[in-house]
Amino acid sequence: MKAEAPPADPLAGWRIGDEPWYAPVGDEIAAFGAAHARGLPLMLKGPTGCGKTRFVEHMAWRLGLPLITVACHEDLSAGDLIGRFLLDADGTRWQDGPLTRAVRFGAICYLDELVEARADTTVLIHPLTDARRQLPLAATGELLHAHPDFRLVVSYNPGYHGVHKTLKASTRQRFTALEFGYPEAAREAAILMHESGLDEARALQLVTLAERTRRLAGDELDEGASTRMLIHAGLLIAEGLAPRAACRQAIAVPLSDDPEVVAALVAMVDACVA
Amino acid sequence: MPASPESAFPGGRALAIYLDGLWSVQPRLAALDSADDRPRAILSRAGTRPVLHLPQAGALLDRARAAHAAAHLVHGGTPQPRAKLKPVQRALFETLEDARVEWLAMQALPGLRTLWAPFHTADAGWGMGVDALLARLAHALFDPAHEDGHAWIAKVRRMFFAPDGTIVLATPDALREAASRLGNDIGQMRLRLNPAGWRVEPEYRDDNHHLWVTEDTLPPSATPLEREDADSHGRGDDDAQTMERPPPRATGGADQGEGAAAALWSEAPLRTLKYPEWDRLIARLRPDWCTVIESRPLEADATALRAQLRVQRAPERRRPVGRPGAGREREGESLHTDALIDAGIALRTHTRPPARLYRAARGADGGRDVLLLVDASTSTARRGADGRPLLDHLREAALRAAQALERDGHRTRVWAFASDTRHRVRVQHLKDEHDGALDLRVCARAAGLRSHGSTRIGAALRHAAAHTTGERPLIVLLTDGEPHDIDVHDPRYLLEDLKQAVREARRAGAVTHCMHVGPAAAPGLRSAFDAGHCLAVSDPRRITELLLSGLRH
Repeated sequence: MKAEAPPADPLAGWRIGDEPWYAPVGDEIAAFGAAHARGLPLMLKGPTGCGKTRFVEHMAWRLGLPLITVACHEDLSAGDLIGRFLLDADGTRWQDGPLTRAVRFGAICYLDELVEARADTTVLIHPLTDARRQLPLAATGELLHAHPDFRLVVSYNPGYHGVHKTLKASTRQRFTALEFGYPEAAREAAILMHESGLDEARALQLVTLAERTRRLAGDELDEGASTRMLIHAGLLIAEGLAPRAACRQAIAVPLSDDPEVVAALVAMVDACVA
Repeated sequence: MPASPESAFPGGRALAIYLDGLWSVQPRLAALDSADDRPRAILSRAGTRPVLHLPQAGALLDRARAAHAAAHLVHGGTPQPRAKLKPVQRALFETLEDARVEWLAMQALPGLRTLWAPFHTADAGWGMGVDALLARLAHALFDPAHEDGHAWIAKVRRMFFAPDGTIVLATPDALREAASRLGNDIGQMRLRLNPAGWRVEPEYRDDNHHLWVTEDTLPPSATPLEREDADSHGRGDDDAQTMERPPPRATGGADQGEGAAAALWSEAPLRTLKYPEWDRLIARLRPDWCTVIESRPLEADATALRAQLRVQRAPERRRPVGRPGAGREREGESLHTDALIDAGIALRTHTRPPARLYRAARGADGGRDVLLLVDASTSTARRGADGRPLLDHLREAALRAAQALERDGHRTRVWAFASDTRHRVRVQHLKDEHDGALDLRVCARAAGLRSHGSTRIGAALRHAAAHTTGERPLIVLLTDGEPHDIDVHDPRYLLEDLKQAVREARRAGAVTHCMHVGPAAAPGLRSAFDAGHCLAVSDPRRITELLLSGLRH
């Protein structure tokens, strides 16, 4: 990322150079700081696109720690996190996975949507999240003691998931947790204005639209329009698209595949955006 | 369960979502057949759930009408007595009230102006009759930029709006007072309103009868509403209460213990079990309260059903349950020793090493117990947009899902349930664990299933939970409505019982999930299940697909 970083820093690529902009909603910065000071693992709960990832980036920058992010998915295996043997001309060679790298050299490891990962992957983090702060690497026979700067942060969206996608109590209870929601209207409009350059009146219209779609969450939609979607719409407007067309493209059409729901959303866009 | 003809109005679902999302109002939408050549929508607020009767029109006019009705529902006040107001004064009151609620709606949702504006065409060219003046007034109040040129209209506008553009006439009393005075102005202009011929303008506005207290002495409306149903007489249309017709012999109310055994109950019971039920008033379980009768449906000709199942095959399994073969993979978590030796040899002999160096993963987890619980109450006889009863979709979806889940390595059962008071909660086994989903007898039983009775979900769920085993068994409820039975008149009672049954199942280690099929939202049902565990499906043809994506996710 930075050419002048000393090559000796194995985490140079994961350091955050410029401050990621983040508008605090409550006292989450102090809460993150307290958990960090005591080395406690942190879970961020909240709907998609409400700023969880941006918050972690901001905090990593603020604390001066590298950030290693892993997007969890249902095929994420233990090897993907810990590492695996690779073959080269001389035989086998151990390659650290992202988690091992964070544990070894001291970084914030951010597991995005932890609940998506397979259960056998989830239990890997157990010894890291209690007083032991260890990561046993069965494949190499190594017992890795976490670097003092290692921190674990996971995100979790309780809103949408399949029937058997919930965190086990044994995993859940290892974390301290912060609940994220969509910011209240004025604040969300301010975020939107900052990120996309919209004027206030237009930003408030988009926020109104988002609030109304969120009422449909659970019934017709999995989730309502996120702050991220609003920013996308705002960027399209800033690029010169007509506001309604931008909202159709960034909000109404992506939100659902059901033609009737999309028709209703398009009509809602027309009502909210003048 | 609600048998309300929501779907009877074409395009009604998108409109219902539009109203629910923007204003959180859920009026029932009904088609209005009117002989009137200039029909107006009719909004009825008499029942517990408002009803919007819409004449046949295009999508844009439908939407304009629905948005206007929503403005009344959200910003309107209580009905006014007609007392002493002359027809022209009432028409003025209605015009002012329409302008007021629309102005408030547009404050929150500015885009509504472009929806309504094209309908406001009245101007000086319409003439000087009362009807024309009222239409021109409506236009002038809707659009502050519109200059009509008539002195009286300018006067009304000055009364209505403050110089800063806000509304002065904000209360019913102020509106009434203004309408009364303005009516006198009209009288002095020597103009008369013909109340029989007058229609509110523009055409997206409803006939405004809901603004007035119903007076029994008045003759009935010239436009008959569909079937003169419950709503227009204020008997209430709260789904759970009246929609599910009790069987003919039952009159509801009393706790009818013993009764006739209809043909549908003549199936030989496999066994009879008793379950408790949660009473929300005493906040405890009533022991041995509900009697569950297990049976198998009488078998019927399954040709059509099997053909249907064959045409729309179950979706292919997502991944094999256990991989056969030597167990070498291109990717994996641990290296395959033999493959490494092969690779080592290949490297030393300068030949191409094998690509599969990893041990294959063990198959997917060993499979779970999945019980699909199908609602077979009377309301499932309702026909959908494709003309087929909902029950057809439910049983096909259940069997297709069962087939797909078995391919994934799960053990599945399909049961149907319906109730007729707490003494007869019928649970019919269509498919048990050892049956194949497409077995002839399973299909014959499914084909023999009939829509009948009510929806006592809690009892059926307790029965299901008591008969599932294995690790984290799964119970999936397929229903079209909220819990209801003819011996229960408090809609909260069975809903609270369902919540309790879901809690009990969770404590016992089972996972409950609900697929709600139908046009209307079922907020109660959703609240009974864990967050994200109740999925609304509006198109019955998509049940299987959504069910499987939920379970496999």
